[in-house]
Amino acid sequence: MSAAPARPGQTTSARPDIVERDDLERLVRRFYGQALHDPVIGHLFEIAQMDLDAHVPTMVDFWQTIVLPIPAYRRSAFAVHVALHEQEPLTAEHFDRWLTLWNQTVDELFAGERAELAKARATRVARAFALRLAGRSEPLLRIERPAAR
Amino acid sequence: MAYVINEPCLGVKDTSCVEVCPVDCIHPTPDEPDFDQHDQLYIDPEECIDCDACVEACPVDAITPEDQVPEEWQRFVEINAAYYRRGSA
Ligand code: HEM
Repeated sequence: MSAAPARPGQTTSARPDIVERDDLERLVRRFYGQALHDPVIGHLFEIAQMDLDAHVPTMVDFWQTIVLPIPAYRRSAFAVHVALHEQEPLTAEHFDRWLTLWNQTVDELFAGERAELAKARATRVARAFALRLAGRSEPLLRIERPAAR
Repeated sequence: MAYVINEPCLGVKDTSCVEVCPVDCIHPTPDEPDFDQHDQLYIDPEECIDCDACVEACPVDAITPEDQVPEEWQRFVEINAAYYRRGSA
């Protein structure tokens, strides 16, 4: 595997890929170090009264399940965001910002296949959350029941 | 809890859900040998992380959270789970 050509000022080769759970904990903590004080989304975590130390292991489980991938997360990722959305609407702008911070944090710490996976999968989930919450002024189930055939 | 693929998937198997699932818990995928043998796709209830990504992706609105599966589709909860008990892995 040859490294991508280094651009000026970039320390590509110095950044390792995500290898183990501890890496994910570092990533998650650093992400929240930014997110909690962010002018666009910081207040949302306050509204949710998030307990960071309680939340970090859950988040690390989530990312471990996706990125390593070693199953650990056995909860419901979407539901808490629905609850928060009911308190304070989560908008596309919020999700964009979340994602920008996440991608930046990943890039600051890591480079490689798993780092790319962490960004790509976050994008999928953020997009799904945002789209669904945007259509969510009504109850969850809006599928029409097909006529019996 | 987990999400469930219900009746509208039968004969459709669009696979958009497979592409968006962040934990790859929807099978069979088109490149798996048993893809043609199944009329629908199934979500692994043990692996699903309830992220909701597949719901939006599904073109035929076949996917619901397990606790919101309509009465007439209740059997699909078991149908999804059963696929993964067949030792398909
Ligand atoms: C505007 C964007 C977002 C906001 C404001 C937000 C906020 C929150 C809050 C307040 C919690 C609850 C923490 C607690 O008290 O336990 C939470 C949980 C969580 N979030 Fe987000 N989130 C956002 C986007 C995302 C995205 C894009 C992902 C995934 C890629 C994600 C994944 C999770 C997961 C896995 C949990 C843990 C759920 C559980 O099992 O309890 N979040 N989030």
